[in-house]
Amino acid sequence: MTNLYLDKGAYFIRLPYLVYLFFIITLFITTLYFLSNADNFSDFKFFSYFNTIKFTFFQAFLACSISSIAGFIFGLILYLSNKNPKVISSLLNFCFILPVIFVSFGSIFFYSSNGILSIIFHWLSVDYNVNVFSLKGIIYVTSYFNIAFNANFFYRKLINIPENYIKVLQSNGIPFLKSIKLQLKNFIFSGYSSVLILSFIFCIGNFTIVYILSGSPNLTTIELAIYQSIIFDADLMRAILLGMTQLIIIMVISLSLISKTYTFSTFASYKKSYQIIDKPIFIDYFFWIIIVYFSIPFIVLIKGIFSFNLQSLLTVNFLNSFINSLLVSIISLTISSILTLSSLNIYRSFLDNNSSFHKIIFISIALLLFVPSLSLSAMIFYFNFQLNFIFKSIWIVSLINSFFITPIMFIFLSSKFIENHNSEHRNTLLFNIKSLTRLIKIDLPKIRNEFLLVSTTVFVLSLGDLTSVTIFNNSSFKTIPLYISQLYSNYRYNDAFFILSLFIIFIFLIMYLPTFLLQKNAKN
Amino acid sequence: MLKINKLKYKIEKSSFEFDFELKSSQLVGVIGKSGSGKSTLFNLLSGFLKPIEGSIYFSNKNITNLKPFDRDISILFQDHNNFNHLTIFENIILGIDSDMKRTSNNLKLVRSIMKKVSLNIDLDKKVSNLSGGEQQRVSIARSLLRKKSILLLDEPFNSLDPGLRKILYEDIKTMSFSHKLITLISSHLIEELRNVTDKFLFIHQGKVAENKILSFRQLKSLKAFREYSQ
Repeated sequence: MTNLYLDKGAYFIRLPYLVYLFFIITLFITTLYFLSNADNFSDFKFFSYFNTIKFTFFQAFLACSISSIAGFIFGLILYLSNKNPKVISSLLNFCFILPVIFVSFGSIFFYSSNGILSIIFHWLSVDYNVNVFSLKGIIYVTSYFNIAFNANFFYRKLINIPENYIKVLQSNGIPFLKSIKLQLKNFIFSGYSSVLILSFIFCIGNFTIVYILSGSPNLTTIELAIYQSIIFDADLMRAILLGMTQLIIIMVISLSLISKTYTFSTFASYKKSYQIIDKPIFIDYFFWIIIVYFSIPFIVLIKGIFSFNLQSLLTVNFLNSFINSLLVSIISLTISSILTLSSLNIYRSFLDNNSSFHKIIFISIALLLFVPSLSLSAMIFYFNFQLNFIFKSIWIVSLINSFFITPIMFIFLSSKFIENHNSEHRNTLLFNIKSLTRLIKIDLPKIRNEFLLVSTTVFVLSLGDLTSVTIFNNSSFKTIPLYISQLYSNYRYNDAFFILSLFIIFIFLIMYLPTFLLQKNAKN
Repeated sequence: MLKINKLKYKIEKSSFEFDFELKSSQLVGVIGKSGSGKSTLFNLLSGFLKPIEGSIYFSNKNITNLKPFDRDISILFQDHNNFNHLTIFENIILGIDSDMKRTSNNLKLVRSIMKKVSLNIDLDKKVSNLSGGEQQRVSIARSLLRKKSILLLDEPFNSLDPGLRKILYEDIKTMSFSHKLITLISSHLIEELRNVTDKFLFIHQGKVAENKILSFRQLKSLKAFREYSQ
């Protein structure tokens, strides 16, 4: 065991994490203080929300199960299709980070009673009776993201199976299904528990989907109930209690799965793909079915582009929303990057010292994944209220967004930091490299590509977010997703679809332009 | 007899063309620079790659388009030959019974083949708990159990220590001759190969030098080999 002394730079690097820890603890203490002093505490009837809690977990369980099974099948077919792994992985990544509002409106445009599918069925003189504003719609859209997420995991696992294993199986004449079965425990499902937890959390936290597609009061999730408590009833206590209930239930469910995992292996990079010589013919058909499935929401782009209206772009409301969206994402990304690098540094310094405290750092960041965005909003709303609304909405939304994207950045970059820890720990001691120098000269150049990739991803996630902004918006502050949603609610469908289309093109450019330029630069 | 007839393969900017013959019961060392085509030759022979042109004949039968399993060939690699989560028994019997059934006949077969490769370990032990040499013996046992006439060893012992390599090379030599196999071993370590054979295929720029087996003395007369061995 080695004891590292802390230089000044180390304290500087650790500061953001300590500020975060202080803020989170203060927030929880303030909330608990508020709850303990609430006059109407006894008015909260837990059992009146039983159906809401039941529905929340029922829909999450259903969507999660569908996503797992479909994700596995999709991953397998994509692997067997032998197509370019870079393209497939990019497609799945892109589908996963698409703004929820886009997939929701895209699905409405395709499946609703006035949608494309209905028109086709009508043309074929076949009855069409699908109500997208229902549990079906919620499950469909929730699964869309999670299927992409699960399929990406399985796909990456499959293409990472050592080439020699496949050759050994082929030369021993092991039938295809048996080969897959043999690989299940060893490769394909290793690390799946972390994906399952994340998938389940994503399914529970599908506020925007339920907000858009819930057609009945019976289809209310805890997050929607929190939103209603804050906006319609101004009942912060109820909102916080509901949030706490969700948090506790998720923690209990996830604890059994997470207890042995202090790192997520979701984002393993891919190696070269082994060419399968004799692929079954039907794989190509299934491959195109998958492509069609993921393309369905994109049909709305055609409608959007044909609804071109320059005037809708020149309104104060649009420009204001656009600038606010960008500002929120930039601030969120900055906060998140600083916090991630700070916490990863502490995480690694504990690893360097052979201390198991690194688990605490991991848990303190991963905890953010479990805190529902809207209950966090309720807590911060109360906190801000106590401080006489000292913080403006833009800062609060940015902070909540940064809390939502930090665990993603942390998890994504942690494997790279562990790798750096393994390879450089001794040299750091040997050459007495200072913490700040190590971060700037060694870590950052090494993780540059991964950092760029995860930064663009979380930037896009933040841009498309429609959770906390539904609570903290006002006449001078709204973001593009909220603006589109309001246009849609005011029956300005053409404008909504047009701006949505531009928004997606903008997101696509943000997502892939830096990577493209980086690759071009590397080639030169 | 194994006859490789103008077998062509191309990947990106590299092209390969193999044309040679091998008689039964031979142990041949395959040598050449990294990327010269040793693994490509093995992959073409075992059916993991499809040639653009040419044919492979074994015992006067055209096997060019046969699937890997239908060829009379076993192949071993440097790593990932075994499944770590399976036992020794399961890893060996996998070669002839994909259900890995624990029948008395299967147990008998595994025990007898383990004896042949000098594996005196509990057959229910997980392969992940074995040493590198023992793991390779398990894969050799599986190959022998399959009773194939051609054994391809693609740099099989590179990750092992020299002492163990020497023993395994000797074992391969004994087994190769006792089972009358055509055995091809690729390696960078020519001196170690020389201890077990004086027959070499030298692969240079995607082709077999002279299109035939050469002795070490013949190899030394080649300019390309001298450059390689320096």
